[in-house]
Amino acid sequence: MTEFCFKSLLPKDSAKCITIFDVAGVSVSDLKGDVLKFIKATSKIMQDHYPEKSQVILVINAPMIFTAVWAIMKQFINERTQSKVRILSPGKTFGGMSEFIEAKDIPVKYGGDLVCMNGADIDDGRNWNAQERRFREHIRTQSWYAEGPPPMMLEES
Amino acid sequence: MLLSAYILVAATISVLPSHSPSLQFFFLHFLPLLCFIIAPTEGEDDSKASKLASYSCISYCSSNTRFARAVKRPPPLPRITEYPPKKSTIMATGYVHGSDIPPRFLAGCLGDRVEATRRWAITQTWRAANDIDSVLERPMRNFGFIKRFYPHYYCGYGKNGSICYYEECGRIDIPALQAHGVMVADLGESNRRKGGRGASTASTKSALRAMWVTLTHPRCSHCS
Repeated sequence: MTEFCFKSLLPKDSAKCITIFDVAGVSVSDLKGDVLKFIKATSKIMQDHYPEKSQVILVINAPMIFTAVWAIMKQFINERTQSKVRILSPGKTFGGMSEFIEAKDIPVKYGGDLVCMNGADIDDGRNWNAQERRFREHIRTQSWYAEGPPPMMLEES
Repeated sequence: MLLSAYILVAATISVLPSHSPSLQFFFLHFLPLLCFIIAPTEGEDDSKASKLASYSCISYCSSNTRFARAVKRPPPLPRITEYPPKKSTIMATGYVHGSDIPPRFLAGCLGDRVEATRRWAITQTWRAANDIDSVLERPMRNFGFIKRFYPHYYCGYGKNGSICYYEECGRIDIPALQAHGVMVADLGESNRRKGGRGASTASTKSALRAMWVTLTHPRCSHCS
């Protein structure tokens, strides 16, 4: 998706992305061992190979203890990236997001006005946003047309 | 007077930084014309004009052809064959892989051209090793499953035009992915590398671990 984003949706070299991690339901006690390795590895990929592509990273619906966890995770991330990360508790989610995103572009479930599906829930596609629709069309063209519909679609039909 | 001024300007050219295209354009195109205007076309002063022109690496000729110039170009720099190249190699050659460095790499390195060159070379190596350039052209038959059980999507734009990308980490359903045969082999491989432990249950830990596998899977849509 990152490649599609910066190759197709926003091909300019100066284009940036606002990343929002909704961690509602995530247990802090599991953030150790392999998970830390995962975080280190993924953050390293973004740092090393997509520099200056992230405007801000918002961790929303985060329990208060996430702030303490973030203090530990900071050591794996460079200072410039650290300054881009915001940990937002459920009560401050909309306020923190609206600092960077207009309310009309914030999904309804986060307090905004934008009606859009999350890409996971099954619907008829009417509520997919334009970017998601383009991405799915690309995938459909590249994969589904080439090899036929995936098994899940066959089951649903 | 004019000649003195020209000597001063011509001497300045030699110390100009190579990344000032507008200034270079000025000196390479305007000054030869100036030189042509102020220099006589024949006689003993002709040699003076040629000498003056040589200060700015411009060969000036005032013979019957009246005016001709050719910019002396530096010799081609050697290519680097080691990846990733060492800083010392970059500093010695100033050239990597024949590619221009994207401005964002320079910005990310706070203008340090050597470090930006090194990082860009590493990224090129990584992209080639993982075939990132063609990742969007490969079939992604697991796309539907992954999108359904690992909610992530683009939605709207930021105030300055940035695209917004969402991940719902708490809704990742690893057992469902495994039940559909998505990346089970890779998950096993990942577990073997981490000490032989089996796949865990639907905890956050397993979810995040599988996300890592997802990111590294060659056929997956998130490899980038």
